[in-house]
Amino acid sequence: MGQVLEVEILAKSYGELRAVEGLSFSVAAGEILGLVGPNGAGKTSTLRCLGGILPATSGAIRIAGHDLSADPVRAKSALAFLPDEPRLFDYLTVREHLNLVARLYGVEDWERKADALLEEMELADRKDALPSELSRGMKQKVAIASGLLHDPKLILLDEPLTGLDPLGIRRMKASLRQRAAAGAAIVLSSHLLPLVEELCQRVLVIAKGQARALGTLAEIRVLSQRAEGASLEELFLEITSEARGSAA
Amino acid sequence: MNLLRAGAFILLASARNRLLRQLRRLRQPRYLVATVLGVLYFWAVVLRWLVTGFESFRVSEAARPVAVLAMVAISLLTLGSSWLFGGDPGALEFSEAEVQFLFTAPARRRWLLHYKLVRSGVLTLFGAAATTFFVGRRITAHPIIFAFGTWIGYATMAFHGAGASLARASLAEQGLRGARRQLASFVVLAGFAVAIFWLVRSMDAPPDLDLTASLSVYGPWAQRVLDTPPLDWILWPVLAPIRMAMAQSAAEMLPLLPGALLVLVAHYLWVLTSKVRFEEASIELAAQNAQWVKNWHKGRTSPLRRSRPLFRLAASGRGEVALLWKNLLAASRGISVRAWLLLLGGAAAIALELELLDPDAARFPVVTAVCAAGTLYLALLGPQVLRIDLRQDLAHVEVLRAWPLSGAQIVRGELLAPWLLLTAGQWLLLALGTALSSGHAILHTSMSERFACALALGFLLPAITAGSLVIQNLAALLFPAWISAERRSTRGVEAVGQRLLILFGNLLLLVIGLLPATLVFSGVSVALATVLKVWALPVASAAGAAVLLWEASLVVRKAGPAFERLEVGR
Repeated sequence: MGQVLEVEILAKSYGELRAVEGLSFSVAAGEILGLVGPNGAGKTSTLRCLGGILPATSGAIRIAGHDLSADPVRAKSALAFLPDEPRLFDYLTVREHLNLVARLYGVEDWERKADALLEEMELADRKDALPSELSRGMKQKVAIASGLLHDPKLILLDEPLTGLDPLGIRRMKASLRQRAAAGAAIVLSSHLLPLVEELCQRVLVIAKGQARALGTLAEIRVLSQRAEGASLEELFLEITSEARGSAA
Repeated sequence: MNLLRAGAFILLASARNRLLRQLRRLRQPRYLVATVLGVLYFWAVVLRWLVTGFESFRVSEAARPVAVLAMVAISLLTLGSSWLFGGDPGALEFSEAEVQFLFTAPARRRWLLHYKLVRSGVLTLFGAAATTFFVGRRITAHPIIFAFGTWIGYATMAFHGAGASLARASLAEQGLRGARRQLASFVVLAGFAVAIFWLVRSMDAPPDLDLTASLSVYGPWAQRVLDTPPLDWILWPVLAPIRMAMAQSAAEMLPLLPGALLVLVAHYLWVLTSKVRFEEASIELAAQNAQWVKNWHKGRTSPLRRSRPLFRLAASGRGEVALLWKNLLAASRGISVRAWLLLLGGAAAIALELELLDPDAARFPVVTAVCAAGTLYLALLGPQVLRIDLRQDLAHVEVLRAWPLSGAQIVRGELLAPWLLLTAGQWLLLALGTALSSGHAILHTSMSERFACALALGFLLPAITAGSLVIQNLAALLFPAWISAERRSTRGVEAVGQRLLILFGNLLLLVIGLLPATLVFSGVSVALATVLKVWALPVASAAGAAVLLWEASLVVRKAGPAFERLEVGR
């Protein structure tokens, strides 16, 4: 399968602070990549660079074949970025958010898709509600529905299940699997390691802005010289403690 | 007692950390410049008066009862509204952090009340200082005495508001039983109601209203009202701090101090001994306050209204139109009462000035004056008030940056809604003012000349508005922290300096931007004046406006990359 996301030697600095250093990886169509790391590892900075929100200090990012730096509009047309904190416009209703996104991404049959998404997210009866009338979880669902409306080829998720109820979590997981099966590439950043283990084919562990491990769970076990049954949590703790040790 | 210490620690530590943070920021030149400017401003406007005294603005001895009566009326209105509409929430208002840390702390509820009342009393110092500066300097020569008396009065009113809130809560919670528990409160309330009724009934008719007459004409009448028995002793709790504030010397003030303090302490004890459960209401208030603060940051203080979009947004077309659609919805749903009041108040103030310039109303129709003032206000100050552009969306930069639009497209799209709304307003007012000026002689101009002038302004003013909007949005891109600070209604010397810098920067850039347009305007009008007479003005204005709009479009093109480089979330 073709690569939807290609990242080469990505670096991001904030003044003196180097948040991300020399990160290289790719995600193929239909693949779900888990991005894990301790607090302050550089996960959100990485995702924001991939989403075109932060300009990378150096390195190259290609999305669906388009260079994010040279051709940002085409690259962004192919992606959806779903942050952990839903940022909705206070003065737009749920449906108007979808209308806005439809125009931005040129989704011709948006009304049909919007109805289906609102149904899926259990928001059909709240379509005329303003964000102030929604709970935290509902706002998260609106942000997710807005992100998925244009059938993105690349979906970037930062802690996507925050605020969702158990049914919402189950539906979200099913939806991500379904979209991956339909050919979308997904990058999922989360501290919920069982979720990452359950959904992702490959995992990228980063610490202090650098890649510490990349591969399937089996490959990381081999790399870490751990037994067959070692969980992602055990591997994560070992890898990140090594990173802490090397830094010390 | 531990909670009081904790409360004092919160207040002092917050103030100290805020001060330290501001001092640390002085290492950065822009904050240093802002602070120096702020200090100069405060010196020029506020501190100078405290040092040199207020003599030049003092009202005469004869007019002082009028000031006292006005203060009594304002105090009674405030106290009455706290019973009718609920007390001042500030006195029992807990922040969400206070609810989380203090409500769960192992302390008696009384200490929570102590903490809030002391805090509320301390915070009224700022209100007293502001009143002293804005009002006191016009009615007394003794700012320190006035400030002290005003502080006692404000603290008393804050405690009264808290007590009224608790009494209302008791009534709502427990009906008649609650009313019995608050019997003393309601007796006092009834006494005041009687006093107001008495005041209205017993008042002599005041002298005929004459705006040009000195206030001292009304002095004897005001004194008679204040001395009317038994009104003088019924109003004593209200008058005690006011008389103290109006004292002309320390010797005059000191005998009045015990009375004012007695009223203050009585209110404190009244609230403290209340048996009403205030915690639930406070938690709700904290949530409401958090939402209010959030809204204030976004430039509005009223809830959103429902309204239909002005037009249907099709699924295909230019991305800028999506931003226009979004911001028009923001305007129709979210513009606060504050913004409308600013717009209308500003227009009315300028209209009044125009009227005063020409007191002969027959020669200067009021409607035309209001329209002219409104047009100028929309053109020059409208861009400061109507912030439905990047300034409003700074909190959403992360979302905007992920959209498949170039930086220039986003900046252009964000500018469209405020520019179109302000332009439409200007054109409407120009058309209305010109049409309604028919039949009135204004500066010996004919209707044809007025149409030419209106047309010229119709070209020029929207271009100036565009320039002003571009500059302010560019400032938001280059100094996002300052624009956010402006929105957060931050206080302090540095924040005042920042606002002054932004204001002066805007004006300077606008003047520089206007230079080429002025040259073109002058050249065209001189060249065509002999041929087209007054009609050369609209042609020259159109040429000048074209130059200004071209300059604005150049800046927008340059602002695109600045938007793309803006560091989000730092």
